[in-house]
Amino acid sequence: MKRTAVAILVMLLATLALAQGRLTTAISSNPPTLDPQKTFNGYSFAITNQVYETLFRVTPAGEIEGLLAASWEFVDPSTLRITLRDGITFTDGTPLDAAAVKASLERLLDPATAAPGRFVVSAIDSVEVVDATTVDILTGEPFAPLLAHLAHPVAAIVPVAHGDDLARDPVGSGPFTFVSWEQSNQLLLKANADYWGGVPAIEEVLYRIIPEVSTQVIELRSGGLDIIFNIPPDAFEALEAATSVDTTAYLGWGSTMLGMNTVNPKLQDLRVRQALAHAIDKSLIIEEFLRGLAEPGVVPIPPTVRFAASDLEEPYPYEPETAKALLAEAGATGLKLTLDIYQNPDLEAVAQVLQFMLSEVGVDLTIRVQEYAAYVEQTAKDDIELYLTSWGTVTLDADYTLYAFFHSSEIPDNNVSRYRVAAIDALLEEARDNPADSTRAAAYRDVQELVLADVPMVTLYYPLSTIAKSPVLQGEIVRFSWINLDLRNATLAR
Amino acid sequence: MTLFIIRRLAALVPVLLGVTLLVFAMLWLAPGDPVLALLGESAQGISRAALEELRRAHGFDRGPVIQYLDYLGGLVRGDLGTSVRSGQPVMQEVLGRFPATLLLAGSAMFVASVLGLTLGVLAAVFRRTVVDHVAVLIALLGVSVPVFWSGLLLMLLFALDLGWLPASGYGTWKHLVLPASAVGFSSAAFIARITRASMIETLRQDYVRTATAKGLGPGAVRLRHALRNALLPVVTVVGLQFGGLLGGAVLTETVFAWPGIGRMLVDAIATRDLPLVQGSVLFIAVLFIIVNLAVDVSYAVLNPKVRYD
Repeated sequence: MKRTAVAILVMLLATLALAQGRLTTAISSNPPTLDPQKTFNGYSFAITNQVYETLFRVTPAGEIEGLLAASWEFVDPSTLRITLRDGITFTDGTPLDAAAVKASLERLLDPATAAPGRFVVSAIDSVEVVDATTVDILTGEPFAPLLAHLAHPVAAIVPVAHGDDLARDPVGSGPFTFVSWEQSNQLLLKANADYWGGVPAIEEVLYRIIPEVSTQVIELRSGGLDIIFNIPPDAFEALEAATSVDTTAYLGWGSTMLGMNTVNPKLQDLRVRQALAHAIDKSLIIEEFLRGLAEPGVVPIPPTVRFAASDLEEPYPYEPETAKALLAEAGATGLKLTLDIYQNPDLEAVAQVLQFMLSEVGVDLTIRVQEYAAYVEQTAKDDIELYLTSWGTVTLDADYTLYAFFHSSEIPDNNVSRYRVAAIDALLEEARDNPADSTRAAAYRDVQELVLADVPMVTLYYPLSTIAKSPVLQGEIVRFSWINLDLRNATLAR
Repeated sequence: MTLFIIRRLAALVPVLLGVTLLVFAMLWLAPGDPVLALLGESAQGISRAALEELRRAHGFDRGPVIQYLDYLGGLVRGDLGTSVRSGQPVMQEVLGRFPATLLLAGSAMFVASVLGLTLGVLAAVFRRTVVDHVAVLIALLGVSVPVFWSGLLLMLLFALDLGWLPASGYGTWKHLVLPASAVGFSSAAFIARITRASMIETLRQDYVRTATAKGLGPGAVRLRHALRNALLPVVTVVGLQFGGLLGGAVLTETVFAWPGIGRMLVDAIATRDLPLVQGSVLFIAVLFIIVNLAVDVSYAVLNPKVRYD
C-alpha cells in the first residue's frame, strides 16, 4: 500500500518535472514534411533545424562556424576539405561520418529526389570520401560562398537509409529528437539525451499549429504558449504594452526593394531612375505603414548579411524638387509607369504609398497585383517597368543576393532589372573565385557602390521580425529568423 | 426504397466525374505555375532550369489531358494519388483530418439543433410577444456575426478572462466547447427561423384545432402533434447544414486551430496541390451526397405519406 502511494507520488512528481521542462510554441501552418531535402518551406525548416544538423552554421554575429564540421580548408578554389567532428551518430545509432555526408548530399543533388532546394547547392559537382571523418566537396567552378550555402537548412545531413520515412519520422543528429506529430494539430520533440554538444535543459518542445495570429496572442497571454513569432505590427504594439510578455524586434535577412527595368525605354535614362529614388520618403513608409518595424534601406542587403556595405550613405535623400528637376531634365514629364507586385498585404500597402509619393512629382503609377506565380511570369517579360519584391538573403552571404540581382547571367530569372554591367559581372565572379574574406569584401563593396550609383533598384527598407515570449523562457537565441531558433542553451524557469 | 437508394448511389458516378473535371479545369486554368505556387515566395533565387527540372519531376510538363486521364486511371483503381506538397498518400491525409471534422460538425449540429429548435418553437408559440422578438433577434445575430469575430470574443472571455477553457487546439472535450458553440450558434439561427415559420404554419392547421378541441393540453398539442409535422422542412435545413459542415468549417478551424478538412483544403488550393484538392473535394462531395440521401430517407420515416417505391 505504502509502496504504491510512493510510486504514485514519484510518478506525479515526474510528470510535474516534465511539464516544467516543456516549451510550447506555435507555428502558423502544418509543415508539409519533415524531410529537409523534400521541401523549401519555413514551417518544415523550423522543425528540421532542431532535429537535423548542417555542416556549418552562421553565428548571431554573422560569422560562419562549424557545426558538424570540426575544421575545413579550401585545398584549391574549387575543393573544400571538411574534417567532421569525431564520434557523432544519428539518433538511430548509425555513425554520421564522411560516407553519411556524401550519401546525404548526393541524395539532395540527385534529380530523382526532386529537392525544391537543390538550387542552393547546385554549385557542387561531387562529394568524395577521403577517410572516415574527412570529406572533399568539389565545385566545378570556384565557389567561395560554399560554406554559407552548406549552412542552409536544405543541406542538413540526413541518414539516407531511412528514405521516404524521414518525411513523417525524422532522424537526425540535432539537439532534439522527434516524438510525435498529429497532423495540423501539434508536433512534439524531446531533448536528444546523447547530443554531442550537451543535452539541452529544455526537455520537450511542443509545436502547436495555430494559423490565426490573434489566437496565438490570446494563447500566449493565457499561458497556453511560451513564445510566438512574426506578430503583425498592430498586435505587436498591444503586446509591447502588456505586462508578463517580453517583446523583441530584430533585423533578419530580408530587404524590400523597388526594382526598375534598366533597358525599358521609359527607365533607361539614369536621371529618371535617380528621380524616382529622390521621390521616395523611406522613413514615412516605415513610420506610418510599418509602425516603425523596419530600418531604412540603402544597399540591397541588410547589415546582418556578410559583406553588406552598411556604412554607405543614402545618395538619394527624399527631395521631391530634385526629383522633378531630374525628370524635366530627362524630358520625362508626364511619365506613366506600371508597378508589378504579388499578393502580400505589406507590399500592397507600400505600393499605394509609392503611388502617392510618385504622383507628387508628376509620375502616374498603375499598380498591378497578381498572385506570386503569375507575378513571376510577368517579370520574365521584357516590357516590365517597375517591380516590388521582398527578398531574403537566406544564406546570409552577399553573393546570394548580389549575384542573383546584378549578374548578367541571371537575366531575366532573378535579375529582373536586366542590369548588365561588365565590371560588376567581373567583380561578382572574382568574389566567387577567391575564398579569402578580404578579397570578397572589397569586391562586394565595389558592387554595392556601383549599384547605388546606377539605381537598378531602390532598397526601401529592411523589415524587422518580431518575437513575443513569456519571461520564463531564458537563453534562447533567434539567429536572423524564427526558423533558426537555437534552444541548446535555453532554460525554462517555471 | 432499396431501389431508390441504389439508384441515388449510382447517380454518384457521373456527379463525381463532373467534380473531378471541374476541379481539374479550375486549377489548371488558374494563372501561374504550379511548381512556383508550391514553392511560394520562399523560392526566390531559384533558376528557371531548376524550376523546369522540378516541373518534370512532378509530371507538370505533360499536357493537361494526359495529366487528367492519368489521374482518372488512378481513381478507377482506387488510388487518389499522393500529395505533391507532403509526398503522403491523399487518402491518408484526408482520412487523418476527418475525425476532427466529424467531431466538430456533429457537436456543432447538436448545439445548433437544440438551440435552434428551442428558439424556433418558442418564437412560434409566443408569436408577436417579447419572447418571439428576442428569439428572432438572437437568430439574426447568429446569422450576421462572423465566426472569426464571435470566436475571438468567446476565447477572450472563457480562456483569457475566466480561464475555464483552452483558447484553441484539439484533444479533449474542453477544446471542443468553444468551436462547437461558435459554429453551432450560427447554424442555430437558420434552424430557428425555419422552425418558427414551419411551426406557425402547422399551428394553423385543422388537426391542431381538433386536438385542442379533444381536450389535449397545450404542451401535448404543440410538441406531439404540431412539432412533429413542422419538422420536415427543418430536417432538410439540418441536413444541408450538416453536409456543409462536413466539408470543413474553414474560418472556425482557422480561428480555433482545429485540424479539420477545411483548412487542409484551403492550404492545398493555395499551393496548387492538385491531387490533394481533387481527393478532398471528392471526399466532401461523396459525404454531401450521402447526407442528402439520408435526409430524403428520413422524410419517409417522419412522414408516412412519403413513399419512394
